[in-house]
Amino acid sequence: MQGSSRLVLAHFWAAFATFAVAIPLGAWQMLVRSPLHQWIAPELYYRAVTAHGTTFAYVFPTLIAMGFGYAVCAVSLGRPMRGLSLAWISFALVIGGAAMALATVAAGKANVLYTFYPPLLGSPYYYLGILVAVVGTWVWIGLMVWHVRRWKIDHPGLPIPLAMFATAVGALLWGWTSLGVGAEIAFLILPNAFGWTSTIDPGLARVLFSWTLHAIVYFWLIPAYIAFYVLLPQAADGRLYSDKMGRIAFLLLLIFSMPIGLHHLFVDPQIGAGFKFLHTVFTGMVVVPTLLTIFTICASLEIAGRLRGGRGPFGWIAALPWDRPFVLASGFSMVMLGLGGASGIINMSYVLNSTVHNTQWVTGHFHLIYGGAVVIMYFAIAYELWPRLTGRPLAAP
Amino acid sequence: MSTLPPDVIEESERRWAYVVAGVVGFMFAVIIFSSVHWAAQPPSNVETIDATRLHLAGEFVEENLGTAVQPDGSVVVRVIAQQYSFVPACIVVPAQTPVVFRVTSPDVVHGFLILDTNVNTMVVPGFVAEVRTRFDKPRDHLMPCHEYCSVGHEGMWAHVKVVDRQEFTKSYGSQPRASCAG
Repeated sequence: MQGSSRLVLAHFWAAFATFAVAIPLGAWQMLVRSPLHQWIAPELYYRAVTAHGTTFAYVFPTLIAMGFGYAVCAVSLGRPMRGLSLAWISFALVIGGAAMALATVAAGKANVLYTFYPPLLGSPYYYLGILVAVVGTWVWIGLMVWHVRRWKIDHPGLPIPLAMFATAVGALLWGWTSLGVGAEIAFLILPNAFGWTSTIDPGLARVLFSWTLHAIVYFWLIPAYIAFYVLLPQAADGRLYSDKMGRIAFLLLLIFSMPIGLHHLFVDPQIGAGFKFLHTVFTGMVVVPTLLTIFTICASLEIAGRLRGGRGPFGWIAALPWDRPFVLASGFSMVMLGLGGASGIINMSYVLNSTVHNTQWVTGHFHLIYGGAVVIMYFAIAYELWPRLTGRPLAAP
Repeated sequence: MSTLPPDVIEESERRWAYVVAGVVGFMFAVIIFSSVHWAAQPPSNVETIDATRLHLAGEFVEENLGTAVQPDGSVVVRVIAQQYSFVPACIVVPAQTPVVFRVTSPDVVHGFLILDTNVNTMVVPGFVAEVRTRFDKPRDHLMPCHEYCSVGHEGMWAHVKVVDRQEFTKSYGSQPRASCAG
């Protein structure tokens, strides 16, 4: 893969290692809260929740998005990546920061959950670790944007390949949205945790955190969307219905995800009703790129199904090659995305939010999107990339 | 591989654009109608208070906490949410009466949720959260803290006891601030 295989493999293996730690924690949390097990010391439970959330919010999807970004950069632009040493520095910062944060959590020094909730305070090394990891990702953002620009200068008048276009959108989206949590840690929490300040403004901290907390989900989703647009039509023997529609969808996702996070704060007393309503509108507008994507992907799959001999209004669905793992995984992912998206429309509603805010409904909503739609596609992407990365076919001939 | 003519693609995309506009338009119409017609707004009063002096002076000193009947017959319930309890731990309110909850915190962020109702607000130190509601019939509600507030969070519960209006006046009407705690 244009000399990037080792870099991409390192990101995916590191991501799988964090997944192997955080998934058993999640399963264990369900077990101890179920009637099958006695309730345990809450300190231990919240320590596990902090580790689970920190890994899955800041580390696992970030490593996959970065690794996949490097793979897309090499394959779709068709030439070796430059700045590989910077990419390794970025990788080291993410891994090092994550290790620092998770070791602090494991030691029981930061039972604050991945959402921090200041004025609660944990050990400063927890927040510092996350900040280092976030700063590490900024190097990746720079590399992605720089490669797009360099390619564009060398290929005037040609459109950027869709996969790289979307990767750059994802990088810019993350650049924008990570500023919130970065500012919260750097300017509010760390000075407080180190004892340099004696008070903290929890209202401001919540606003900064919500700046990150919603658009981060679209950063997680973008690799899955790239897989839907670029890899799925190939895997199903079809072709993409409309490349232009794909670009419009990615751009709309970038624009609408900028002013969106306050819908996490609908019942917060420090935000006025006007801004809450505005963020309902922008969150609602995310329905537009989502519906465009559903249309384009369904149309692409319909082409594949009809080329394979499917007839009638629904016959093409049965004719799709569901025995191929990538196609089956994408099908499941889209069902979960549909359920997660529909439940999200209730969360983002200015009026209905009060009925579900901070209940298990919300936990269900984001696990549907995250576990159901996003992670399943990360593994499908790995499945697709692995033979190209290792040079070995998945199945014996 | 066969290629669809561009006008076929354009026509199908135009039809889908109408569907998208219809879905989004309907969604916003419902939200605007219900928020205006039912006057259903999320709690957003943006009112600040000095969290370090709550217990010393002002609205949230201990003797003001609980349910206070207003001259117009409505009630105001003042509550402190703190690690790891609500004060008062048992709130009593009359049924069929406008109720205003005013809640704040001296320490960290808490959550205020009365089960089986739409009363739901964050309690952020430095701000007063205000929720207006009305309980239809007498019954007991659980009231858990719904925002993680450190390791004792799981034990932070209170109760809301909705009683008949006449019974409320008879049992609690003479008190400047009522509660069923203790």
